[in-house]
Order: sequence, then C-alpha cells, then structure tokens
Amino acid sequence: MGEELLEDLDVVFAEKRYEVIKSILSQVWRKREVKWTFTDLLDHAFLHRGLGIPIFLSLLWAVFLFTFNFSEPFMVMIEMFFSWVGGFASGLENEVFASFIADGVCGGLGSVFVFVPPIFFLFLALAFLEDSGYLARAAFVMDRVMYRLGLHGRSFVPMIMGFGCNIPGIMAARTIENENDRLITILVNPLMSCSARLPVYVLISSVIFGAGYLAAASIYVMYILGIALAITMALTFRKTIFKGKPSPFILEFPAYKLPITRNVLTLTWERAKWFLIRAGTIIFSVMIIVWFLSSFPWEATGGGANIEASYIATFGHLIEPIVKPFGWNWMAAVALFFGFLAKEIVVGTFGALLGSGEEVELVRDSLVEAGIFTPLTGFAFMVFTLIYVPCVATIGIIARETNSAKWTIFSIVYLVALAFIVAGITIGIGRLLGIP
Amino acid sequence: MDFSRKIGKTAAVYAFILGFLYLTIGPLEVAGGIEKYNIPADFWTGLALLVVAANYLYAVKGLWRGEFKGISFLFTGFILSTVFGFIFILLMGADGLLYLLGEVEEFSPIADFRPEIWLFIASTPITAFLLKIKRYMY
Amino acid sequence: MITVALIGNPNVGKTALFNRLTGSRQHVANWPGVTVMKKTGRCKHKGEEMEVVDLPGVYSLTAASVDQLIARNFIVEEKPDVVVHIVDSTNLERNLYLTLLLLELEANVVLALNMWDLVKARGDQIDVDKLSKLLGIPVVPTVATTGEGVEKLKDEILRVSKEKPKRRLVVGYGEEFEKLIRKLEDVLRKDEKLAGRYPLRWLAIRILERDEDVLKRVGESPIKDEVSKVVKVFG
Repeated sequence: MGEELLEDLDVVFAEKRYEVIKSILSQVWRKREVKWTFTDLLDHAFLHRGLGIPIFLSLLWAVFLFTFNFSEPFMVMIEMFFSWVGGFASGLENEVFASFIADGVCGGLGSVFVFVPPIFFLFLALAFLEDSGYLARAAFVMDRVMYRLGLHGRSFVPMIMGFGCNIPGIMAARTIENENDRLITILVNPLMSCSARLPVYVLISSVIFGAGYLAAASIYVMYILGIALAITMALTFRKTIFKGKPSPFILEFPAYKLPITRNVLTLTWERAKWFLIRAGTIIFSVMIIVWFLSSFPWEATGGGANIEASYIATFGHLIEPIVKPFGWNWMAAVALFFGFLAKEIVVGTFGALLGSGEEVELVRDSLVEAGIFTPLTGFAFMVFTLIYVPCVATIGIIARETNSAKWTIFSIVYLVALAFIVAGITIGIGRLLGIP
Repeated sequence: MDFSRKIGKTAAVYAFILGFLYLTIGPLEVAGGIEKYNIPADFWTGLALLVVAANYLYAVKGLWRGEFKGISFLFTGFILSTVFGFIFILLMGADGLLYLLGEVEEFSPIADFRPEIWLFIASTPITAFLLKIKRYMY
Repeated sequence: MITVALIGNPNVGKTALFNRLTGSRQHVANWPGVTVMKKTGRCKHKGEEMEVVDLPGVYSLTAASVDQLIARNFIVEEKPDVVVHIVDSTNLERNLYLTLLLLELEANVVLALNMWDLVKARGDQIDVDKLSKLLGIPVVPTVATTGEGVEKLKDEILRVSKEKPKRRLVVGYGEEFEKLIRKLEDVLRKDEKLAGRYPLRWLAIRILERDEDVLKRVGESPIKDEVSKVVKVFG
C-alpha cells in the first residue's frame, strides 16, 4: 500500500466514524417535528425485535412458493420441446447419430435447460427484494442468529437458496464482502440439500420404507441433517482454518423504493446468465460422455439397450469394491458416480441399469425386485447422496467464485470424506442396533 | 398523536377484522384445510398467514391512538397480503397453463381461488388509508 | 462483585450519576503515578455489590493525553465487567464518538442517555429502541440530577454483566483498510500474550493510526518484524 495513503489514518478513520454516527442519527434522532418517512415506517416493523424475523421468513417462503410453483408450466414446456426434438431425431437414418441427438444432446441439454425457469424466477424475486432495499434489513435481522452459528448475516440468503439449487446459492455469496465469511458460506453451501437430490430421496425411501410415514420422515431427516452438518462444519472451519469471528456487519440501509424494472431485470439476467453458460457447457459435455459410455461398444449393447455389456458396466464393477463395505452393489456405485455429474441422473441411471425406463414408479419397483437396498443400506445411501460432492456444475461454480484450485479441490475432498464418514457411522450405528 | 384520531380509529377496526380473518384461516391451513370452503392444506403458508395476522393485530393499538407505530404494521401487513395474494393469482394462471399444455386433466379456477386471494382483495382499502395519511409524512 | 466503569465527555453529568450510584460510599485517591483524581465507590442493587470507578472525562481514547490513557488502560487492563458510557443526549453527534471507540475496545457498554429532561423539553425525539438495536447495546435515558432512569440503568448493568455480549456495531473502514486490518490481525494473533490481552481488531486499527502507546507494546513483541512487513510503522 502506498506510503502516502498510510499517513494520517487517524484522521481518515475519525471521519469514517463520524459518517457512521451521522448514519445512525439520521435513523434515530429527529428534531421537533414528529414526522416520519415511509422508510421509518417500514423499518419500525421490518426491524422489529419480535416480528422482524417472522416477516422475513414469510417473505422467503413467498419467494419459494413463487419460484418453484410458477415455473412448473415453463419447465413442462421445455421438457416437451426436448422430447419433441428427441422423438424427431430417433427417426433419423444413422442409428448412432440418432441416439446421439435423442439420448445424448436432448437428454443432456434438456436436463440443464429444464432448470432455467426456477433459477430465473428465484433470481428475479431476490433481485426484486434487493432493489426495494428490503434485503439489507433482512440480512441485519438475521445477522444476530447467524453470528452464533459462525456465519455472517449475509450468509442466510445463499444458504436458503441452496435448498433450491446450490449454484445460485453459491453465486449469491457474492454479497458477502469478507473473504473468510464468503469462503465458509461457499464451502458449506453444498450441504444444503438441493432440489436435485429430492428424486433420489423419494426413490430410495419408497423402496426401503414403502409409501407412508417412515418414507416422508426419512426425507425430512435428510434436510435437517444437511442443516445440522452445515452448521457444524461452519463452526469447525471457524475454529480451525478460518480463525476469528465473522466480520463486522456494516450498516448500510438504503431508503426503501419501489423496485425499478430495468434494475431488477439486469440483476436477474446477470446471475441467470452464469448458470446457463457454466452449467450448460459442463453438464452438456458430461451427458455426452455418459451417453457414450452407456451406449458403446455399440453392437454389444445393441444401441444402448443392453447395459451390462457397455463400458459403464465394466467401470461399475471396477469401482464396486469401494462401496461394498456399505452394502451397495456395482449399480449403486455407478449411480453415485454419475450422480457426481448431476444428482437427478442417479434415478435415471438406476432406470437405465435395470432396464425399466426413467419413470420413478417403474424404477422403484425394479429396485425393490432387485433387492439392492435394505432399510439400513438404503438410508445410508440417502445420507451419502446428501453429503458427497455436489454436481459438476456446482463444482464449476465453486471454482469460478473462489477463483482458486486449492479451495475447489478442498471442497471436493472434504465433502467426499465427510460423506464416507457419516454414511459409515450410520451403517455402524445401524448394525449395532441390529437394524436390517 | 401523530395523525388524525378519527382516521386512526377506523383503520384500527379494519385492521382488527383483517387480523382476525387471517388468524382464523392460518391455523386451518396448517391443520389440513377444509375442502368444502376451498381452504387448502398448506402448512407453511398457514404459518405465513399467522404472521400476517400478527402484523395487523399489532397495528390495532397504535392505530387506535393515532400513532405512527400502528401504521408501520398496517403497512407491512398489507405488503404481505399483497405478496401472497399476487402469488396465488399468478399460480392460478400457471395451473391454467399446465392444463393447456395437457399436463393436468382438469383446471378449476374455483378450486384455485384460495383464501389468500380474497383476503388480499379485502385488504386493498388500506391503500386509501395510506394515501390519506401521506400528508402527515415527510 | 461487579466492576463498573463510568466514562463520558466532560460536563455530561458523570459526577452527578456517580453520586447517585454510590451515595456516601465513595473513596477518593489518585491514579497511580499521576495527579489525576480517581474516585471509586460501592453500590448495591438487588443483592449484588458493584464497585463503581469514575474514569476521567475524555472526548476520545487516543494515547495523546494522560487522561485518555488512564481511561483506556483501565478498560483494557482491568477489564471491568461493565462500562457505562454517559452522554449528553442533546449533543449526540459529538458524544457518540466515544461510544464507537468503546465498542472497538470490545467493552461491555451500557449507554446512559443523560439530560433526557432537556431533550424532552426541546421537543426532540430520540428513538431509544432503534438506537439500541443499531448499536447492539442497552440504552437507558437518565436524568442524573433527579435520579430518573437510574434504577433501570442499574438493572441493565446487572443484566449485561451476566449475559454474553451480543452482536455490536463495528465501524467498517472500507475494503482497502479492512484488508490491511485483517492482515495485521493474522500477524498479531501469533503473539499469544498480546492476543490474550487486547482485542486484535482494536490493536490493528491503533497500529494503523500510529498510536504511540500501542506501537510501544507491539515494538516489544516478537512479531514486531512481521508487523513491519505489513505496515511500515516502526522507524
């Protein structure tokens, strides 16, 4: 830092303190006239000791309601489009090329683009809240709670977004200025169970517990476990790698305003664009690889119909020993491996391996028949899915946002290790208790 | 007293009624809803409705006395009512779209007309109130 | 027994408050090594004994004057359970400066908004709740001359002494300086003695401000050279 800049810092700092005082006084002190501004009105309620947090949680729920329900028809439209293209492609002459387009490209691109609507709407809603000025208050209100958990107030929104998809969650961590706080938030975000893992939970829980209470309860447990692990790891990181407390929460309340459409749309597009480009390229290329491995050698597999003869099967048997201690077989290993690429693929992979197509009910039935999972091993599988490495796209985003190979690799290693440990403990406790 | 007591008292009564309505519907949604009256089972939204009720009820005392404090919660209660009302109206449209796309077999606008929507409509007179007190504000 | 330090600008009614709290149980001496008067006293509230120390009236906490050093060192070295900052509520802008410094020292502060009667008489409004929320510390309006608010002040003192400190306002100095501060903190952390005694952030900021007293202490520390690498403050 330049020598000149370090001169008279006591004066510079003193000025900064007076700035803060002015800011405080503008919100707290009023001369004789008793008029309030609209900002005062809203702040009195939004920052209220009792109702402040419930109001925030309600608004957050509204954001979720909007995002995931309103995007349904759009997701359907995108699915239909890709189905149509796929159907059209299967009629092509060259079999390999037809499969490439139908299963590879459409399957691959389709599974990425189908997520654009919810991600777009989620970002839209959050941009709206941000431009209105409310988000700054929300961060302040949540800060007190987050501080005790070793996190910064601004970590709350990224963590919550992680429940929808870890990618925008991690990107939302950009609002956190302090490097350490930001890194911790990013490292811990994958433990927030993203929506892509839900199909896996639904599938496995219905296989081992049937429909009904236990199945739903086990899924609920996954989410809670995710949160608990996120908090534990955040606190652990604070004590070990990132010593020190969360950084000062800097007071910056802009006046409330009705969000300007142009601002909101710009903010939204900036973030959604990332998902499209990054996730699009990674998932797409990987799906092509999956397609290739499960369809070749072409003649042996009959164009992808007979999986056992494909390269994937060879690979699966190779890695089977790693998961044997958990009681899983080579199919589960392959499913997990491809789950690395994108969690939803786990269901599809089982479907492909068991030859039952992709509909969840069908895959469930064939899984039950094949008897691959017992209640204990199935539950451990769900736990493993919760924790182990997030999808490739997320890793790509982590790489981009941390701008560091070291932290990206660290996140992969620690998550995989944590997954093995916790799943192992689960199996261990289960066997001790005599659970099948 | 920060603004006209007369306006305040009317607003207070209105806030009380709204608060009471939200306080009734909220727990019903949490508990599982009543199909006959179009009250769906929705645990989390039910809780959110309780928060809206709290906002309106908190506002009553301040409004009755003509204090700015009361307006705060009336305002935020109204914001929440609007947010949820809007969302469910949009979702009605989404369901309509799904029906058109052939994903669902039936589309019933009546069934989709949730309490949040008419509760929102019931809360719109608050805008008149807010406009009236604008001259007391900066 | 709880130690309570009283601090504030000159002429804000600190003496009046001190007398309210301690009554006739006072003791006058000198601060060691100087000719500055030190007043201590006892106060009993809800069965708890408090030892109240009246610190010199100061506007700031730099190393520039003896008074300020006395006040500062008492807080840093003796670590009183509670620091009551008494301010002239009709002149908040000037008075709150010291509050921010106290928060930077990570003291357990309770703010006494004294001369509250004057504020009311003028018709001004101070949102006590919001001020408390923004600063993260209890704020109690008081009129030391009549005793108004003093019971509540004592309640808050007791409460704060028992609870864990909550999240308090910290002044951020901008990205560039915050980076420097963090670097300094990382270096300072290595000297366990320093780190155990003083708040790291406070040390870092004082170093940047070239505070004589702090520089002297850091100069005696084994990590002095590492500090020099971050910021050229020695020599």
